[in-house]
Amino acid sequence: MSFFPSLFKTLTPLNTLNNVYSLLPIVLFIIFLPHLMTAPIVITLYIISILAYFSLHTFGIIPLPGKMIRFLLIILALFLLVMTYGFLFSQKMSLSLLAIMISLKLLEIHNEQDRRNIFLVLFLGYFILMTHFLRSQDILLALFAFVNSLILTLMLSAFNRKPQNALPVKDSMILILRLFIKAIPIAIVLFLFFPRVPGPLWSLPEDGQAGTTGLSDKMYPGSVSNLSDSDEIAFRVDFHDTIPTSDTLYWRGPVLTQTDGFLWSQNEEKPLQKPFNKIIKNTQEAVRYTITLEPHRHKWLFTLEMPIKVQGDTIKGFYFTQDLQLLNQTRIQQLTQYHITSMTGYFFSKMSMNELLLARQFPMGSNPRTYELGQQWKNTLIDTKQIVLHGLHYFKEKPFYYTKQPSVMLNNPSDQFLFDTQRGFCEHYASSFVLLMRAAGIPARVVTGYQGIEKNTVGDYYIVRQSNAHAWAEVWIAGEGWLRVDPTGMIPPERIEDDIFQTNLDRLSFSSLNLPDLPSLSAQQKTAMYELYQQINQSIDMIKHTWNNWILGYDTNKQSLLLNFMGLKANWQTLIFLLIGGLVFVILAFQLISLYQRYKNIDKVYYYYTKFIHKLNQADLNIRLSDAPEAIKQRACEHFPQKKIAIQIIIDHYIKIRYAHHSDNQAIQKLSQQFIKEVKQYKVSNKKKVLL
Amino acid sequence: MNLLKQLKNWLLKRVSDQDSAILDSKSIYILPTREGLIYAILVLVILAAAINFNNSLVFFFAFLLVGVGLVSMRATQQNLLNLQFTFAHIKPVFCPHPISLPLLIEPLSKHPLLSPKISHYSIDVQFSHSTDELDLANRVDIYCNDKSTLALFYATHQRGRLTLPSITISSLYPLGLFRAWANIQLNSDALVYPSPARSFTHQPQSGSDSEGQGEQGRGFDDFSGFKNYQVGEPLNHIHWKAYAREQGLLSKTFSGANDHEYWLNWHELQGDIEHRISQLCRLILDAELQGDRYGLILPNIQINISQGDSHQHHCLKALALYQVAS
Repeated sequence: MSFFPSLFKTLTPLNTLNNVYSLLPIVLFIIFLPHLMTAPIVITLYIISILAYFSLHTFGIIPLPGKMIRFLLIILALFLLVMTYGFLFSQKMSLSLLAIMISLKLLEIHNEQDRRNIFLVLFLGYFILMTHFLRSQDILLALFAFVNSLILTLMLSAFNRKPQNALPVKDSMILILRLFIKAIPIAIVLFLFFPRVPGPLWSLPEDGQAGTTGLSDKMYPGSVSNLSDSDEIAFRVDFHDTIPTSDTLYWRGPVLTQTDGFLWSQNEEKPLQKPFNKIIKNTQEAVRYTITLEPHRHKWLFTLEMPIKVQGDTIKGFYFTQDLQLLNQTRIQQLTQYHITSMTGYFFSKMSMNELLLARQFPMGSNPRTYELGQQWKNTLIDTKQIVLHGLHYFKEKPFYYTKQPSVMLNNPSDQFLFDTQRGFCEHYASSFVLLMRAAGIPARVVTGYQGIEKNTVGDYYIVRQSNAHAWAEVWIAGEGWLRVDPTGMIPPERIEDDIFQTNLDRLSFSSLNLPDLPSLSAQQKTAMYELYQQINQSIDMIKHTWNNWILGYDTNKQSLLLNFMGLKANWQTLIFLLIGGLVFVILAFQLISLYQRYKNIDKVYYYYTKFIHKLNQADLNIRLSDAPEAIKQRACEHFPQKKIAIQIIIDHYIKIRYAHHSDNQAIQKLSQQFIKEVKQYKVSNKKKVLL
Repeated sequence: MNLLKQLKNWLLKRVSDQDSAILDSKSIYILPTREGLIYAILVLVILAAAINFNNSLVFFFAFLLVGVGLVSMRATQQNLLNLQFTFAHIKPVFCPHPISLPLLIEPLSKHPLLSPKISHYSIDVQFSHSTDELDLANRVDIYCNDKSTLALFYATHQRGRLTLPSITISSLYPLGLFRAWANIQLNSDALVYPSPARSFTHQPQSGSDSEGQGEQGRGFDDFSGFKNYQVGEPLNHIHWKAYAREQGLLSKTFSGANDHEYWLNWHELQGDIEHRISQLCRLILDAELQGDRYGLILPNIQINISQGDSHQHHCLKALALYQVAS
């Protein structure tokens, strides 16, 4: 204890904020935390050591470094940044740079009175909080940022006080909380009515794609089945009216045309020249829905096949490619919401020859047995449609199994799958089928995306998870256009292996809860517990979805919806009117609330006592409030002999309420009410006399 | 320049000139500080980021900061609102000494029933035209239902009544984004005695022709006995031990070592006005110290022979105010 007496001295009065100065590095550390957890380890260590150094300084143990050392520290920081990020300017790199700069700025603060530097550091703290939202908009993160902005504001207020004159933390906290409680309605009004501009003006520098699970623009045997274990949510769907039948729930993603027999990849992205609705003819009813897409760092906007109308604030600049992928102009880096109308029954009218040529290419030399089989079909069967049907039935008739864990196939995977193992996941089926069709001379391609939905019964919306990832095929049939074919669907249920069910149907099984399998529980109880678990899970997801939908997804669309709901036209004039009106309303509401609170705190008895005296004074009696009640009684009785009794009763009651000893609380309340009633009933009658 | 003067006049018009000043919303000015402007830029940058990335949370965060800024503006103003400033009794000082001005600060409510008193934090008090850095020692907290006293120091250069410059009351609290301030001009009874001359020998003419009702031999030097306390006698003569024994208020009497009694006469001294005044000042101080009884004669003014604190003050005041060059 005696090594650093000054340290313990400064640490003790934590209930009073007289040592805000040494709290500064701790607060900064907490604010940096989400960033420090993802930053490269050297950067994290660098920042932490500078913060630690500064906090040792605040305890008076070591002096601040001089100019020379600070300069060397900057050089070191730049070196570390270049070492870890290279010369590429990315979002993460700029955040690291900012955090480093703030920590170095700390070292320039010499004492508590250095307002300029301290305030700069605190303000940059707010900025750091903001940058966390660019990466994630989780509820918990929002809470974290909110609490931290409270702390930062508390620090701001503490630095406006005399250093020795510490304000107790509790009092300042109440003060700051009050400030925020008043600020929140203002923020809500601004949030609701501030005009929103659709589309980003410039985009974030892109990061690497590490750390996200999801579909990629390449497919090889095993790439989709990797996802089948992932519980992560790809997107959530709100259907506006009808829910499409399960056989049409194909969410279109990357379309893969090029292949070398093993790896499948996309065609060059060529925007579709013609208007989309000229190419797609629809036959069946439209499905309207909203997708809330989790960031996947690619450009795909998943839609139900086939979309005819797309709308959304954050996806400005989207376009269709020639192979009918819906792409955003930039990569999806944050939660994105868009509104779609899709036609689940559709056909195409025209397709460019180039597309067809590319979709016919069979990679030379690879998968010879597959090629042979396809050629055989071409020669024996006449009709294109017949070949397709034959191909589909091939999977049904031969002993093909659907499994999550197929054996590894490196050489000619299609040959291996079709003729040797015959056990595979959807990507095996889709790619082999497409190769077979191409061998038979039919243009075909692989389409990846998601299939199916999972209902959230609590929130009445649908979830599509990464485990819903799927691959299917498209074949070109002259006169009918591209046709969706799903060879995986041909496998009869008895040949679907258990592990598929386990993941898709029973993903959250009781055994996966990591709970000890209590033998005392009956099967029924277990099911009940499982259901409860699912209910909780769904409720949590529902909260997330509502958050996504109404807070994160509040855009021009929802804004105009709100304005329409209020019966107003959605244009900027209305918004400005609402902005000003809303703020005025908030201010008035504050005034009313404070007035009401004051009124509530009024001493009612005293208030009516003053009223009574005012009544007496109306007949120029000139009584002062400070006069003794007995004296007032005497004078009033002399002045109004005819009202003597009323006056006597009122004043006596007042004296009794105020000065007599009370033990019964109810009696005094009753008496107070009586007193108020009496004062109210007392009339100033002598006005008439004066007039007469 | 002329415009500046006019502005100054207009500003000073709002300065109150009374014994006490209450800050109301009309007399309080408020402007953002440099930190406030930086904060505004910060909020704008965050808002720009929100617009660019269409990020709802960043939008809300920016608006929350806007709200906090606006509310803090109101809070800063309210921090000064309904504060009452009065000077407590100001002890006179001898000329070159800085005078201590005890400023009483009290939270007030216009309608005692309707508006409760609130606590005010970090109020800075400063003379308006001082060019010094803000002195953090003059930063006070005023808690509701509690008076605070702050001692301001002001240099004196001249004897006579002290006219105080206006005082600037300001506050940055709570967030330092705005500075609210008000100028107040208070009347005060601040008096500056002339500076006493160095000790010198002077044989004043005897004052045997005084009223002479003073009991001979009563002085303050040697204890001689007790008598009943009479209002007006010095408090340090009270026999507190006897009071504690509930024997009533007794006053110690002393037999004076001297029974000198004389007039201090302006006309007996030489030199210009200031010189004579500072000499008289010295003589009065010496006389009081020795327990003499004395009177003062100035042209047109005569103060009868007496002694004691109030008599001394009376004489010194007369000197301080005598033909003050203004």
